[in-house]
Amino acid sequence: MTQFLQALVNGVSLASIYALIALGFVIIYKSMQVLNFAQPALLLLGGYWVLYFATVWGWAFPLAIVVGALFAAATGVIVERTTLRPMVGKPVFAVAILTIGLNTVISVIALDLMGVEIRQMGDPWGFGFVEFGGLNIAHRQIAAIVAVAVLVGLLLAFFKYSRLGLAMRATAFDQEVALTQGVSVSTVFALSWAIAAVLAMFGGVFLGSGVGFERSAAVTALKALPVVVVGGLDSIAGAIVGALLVAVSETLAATYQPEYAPFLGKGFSQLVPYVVMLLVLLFKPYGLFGTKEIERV
Amino acid sequence: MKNRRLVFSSLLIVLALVAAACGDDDAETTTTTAATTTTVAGTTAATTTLPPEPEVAFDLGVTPSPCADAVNEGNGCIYLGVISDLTDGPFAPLGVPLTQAQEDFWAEVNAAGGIDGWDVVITAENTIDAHYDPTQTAEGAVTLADRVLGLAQSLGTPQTLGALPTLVEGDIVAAPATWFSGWAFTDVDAGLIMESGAPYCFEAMNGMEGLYDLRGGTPFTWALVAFPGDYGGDYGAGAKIAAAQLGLGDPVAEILQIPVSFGGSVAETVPALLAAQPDVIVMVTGPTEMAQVAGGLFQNGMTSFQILGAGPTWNVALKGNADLMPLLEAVYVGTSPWAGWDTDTEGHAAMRAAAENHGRTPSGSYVAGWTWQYPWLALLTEAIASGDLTRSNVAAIAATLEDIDYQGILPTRTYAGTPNDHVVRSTFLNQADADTSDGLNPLTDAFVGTIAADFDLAAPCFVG
Repeated sequence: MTQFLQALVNGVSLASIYALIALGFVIIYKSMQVLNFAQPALLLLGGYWVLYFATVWGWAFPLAIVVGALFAAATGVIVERTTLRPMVGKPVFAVAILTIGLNTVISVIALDLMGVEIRQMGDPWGFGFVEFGGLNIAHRQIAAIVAVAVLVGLLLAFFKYSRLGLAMRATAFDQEVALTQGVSVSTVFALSWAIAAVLAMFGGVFLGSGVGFERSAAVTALKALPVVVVGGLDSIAGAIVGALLVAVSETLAATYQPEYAPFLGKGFSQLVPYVVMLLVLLFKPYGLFGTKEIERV
Repeated sequence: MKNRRLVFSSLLIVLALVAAACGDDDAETTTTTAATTTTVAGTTAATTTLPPEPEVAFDLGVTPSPCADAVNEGNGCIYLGVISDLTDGPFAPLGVPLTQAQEDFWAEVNAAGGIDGWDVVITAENTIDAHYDPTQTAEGAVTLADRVLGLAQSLGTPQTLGALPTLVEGDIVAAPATWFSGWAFTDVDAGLIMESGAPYCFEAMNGMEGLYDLRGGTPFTWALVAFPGDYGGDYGAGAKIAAAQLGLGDPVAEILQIPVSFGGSVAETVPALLAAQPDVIVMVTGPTEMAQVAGGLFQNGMTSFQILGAGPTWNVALKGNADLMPLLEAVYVGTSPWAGWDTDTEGHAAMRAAAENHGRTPSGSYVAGWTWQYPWLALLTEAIASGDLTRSNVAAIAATLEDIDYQGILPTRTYAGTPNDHVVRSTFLNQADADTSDGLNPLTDAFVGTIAADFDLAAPCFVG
């Protein structure tokens, strides 16, 4: 039982990281109807900014986070202005392909900056843990869960109460109507990329805390894709539920599959997010919380 | 006028034919008179002016003209290639300093006058990043086959095995960046691979026996976490041989760890180790996987274990993790085929001086890269002295090369005789220690345990 509960705790912690990355997918999709495949690269670059300020310049970690977030947001805006803006009005498919190219370009830059060594994030959590009911919960895991709760709360408050947040919701609902109401759609686009980049940065920070930040973080970030497909591409709640479903399934598989289903092979847990995605798509093609698209034929 | 034109044209054609017949064909053996100095790498290098050398025959990977940006304008140039993991494979953190050490080694040799009138270079063009991929390593060998005399480095056992057909076809000698026990067998490596230090399986035997002694001769449970293939298999085989003889039995968990850079994850490894609770975890992975496994265990409250790590499992960068390093200092014991950065030998001193000259930072990988070049130095010295730098002659000499002087980093060795005659069996045990240059503090001098000493190397420890 303890092993099961420990796997659950580890799954919830992993879900918080997946959720941070997935929320970036959702926010861009809601505003632009574009699936942003560059999110893993934004995670690498965002994580790099934080570790650079925290460990190379030796800044206090909270300050490194704040400045790193500003750099990440600026990266998002620059990317949107220089590469996405000229694509307005172009087929969504073409824009999605463009983001794959962006992912490659930004990854190359980020990986070149990072080098080949494991880089320390400079985080304060270390390898400490608390014992609770026979479970060991790492400080890093607690920090990730709290951070995602706070960030989601802030995002929801931003969308509900701020002028820009309302503009983003209006744009997500109907771009043309939003335009007629005086909403600056271009500002909304840029803002959505900035928010997505900052969320990816936080994902990178938690992936890299503890042991360190390195190239494989981008591979982990890719699992946010099945998360958003499971939850629904345009649903913030779906991103969180999808993250929980995918991450908990993955950690349970990692814990039990080698013992109870070894015939499935080594590394099966890495496939679980995609298996969950396939299963959900079979019954809910728009994801658990996604909006059904109705097209006239 | 017409006749004069005809005569002139005929003369030109004849001249052209003669020139073509005498032209430099890469595939043909050529001879040259080399310049006249001989050198030894290192701080104690001596430069001696000798009488003019006899003509030296050569073919691929050697030019009588000086190397680009040569320090010795009168010397010929020998080109060596490198196939390594330089950007995104599991050993990229090791491959970069390893390659730098080899470039620096030859830069120092050249700066001291070269080898009997020849400089040796590893150019960027002849350095291939194969990403620890056997296919790309094999392709890299094909690419380099017409450009270099041999390989200063071929990183990875399955990678080097994949490149072997090309090496055999071209008589290309290689120094491996791997300690596979099969390199001791000419039916495996065709006598072309010039290994240094004890093979993985001897390293593991000594590691298990040394750790057993360090723990006061008390039996312990153990788990094996190893990369698939010859690296994990060879070291794992040695660990199992030692465990059987020490009465430790089979591993309580045996986990095949896919490299993280290949999409693997420690997500299954950590729960399996938590469930098995071994006293000792034998790790035969890269540093990333080791750090992630150790970190995962610490975060889940498991602290009363020891790690026995193979040489490539450690990387000096781990020293920079202020949170992880104190924990590793308590649990990590690593094996290595030679002593670390701070050791006081002539070779280590030469290496440290070279690193300082070239602005390199201390690392165990730099020590390894440097050490692996001594067989090449001995081989080239002998081949030049024999007056024949052709690939076939260099390969023939390599197969039974003797008196390889490592300047004290390793005992002088030979490749002549049976595997049992020439295999190196000694190992160092090291403890993680943030206060040393490369993060490892030697726990022992070079030692050969009784298990390794008595082991009959009749076949490679691992056959994939």
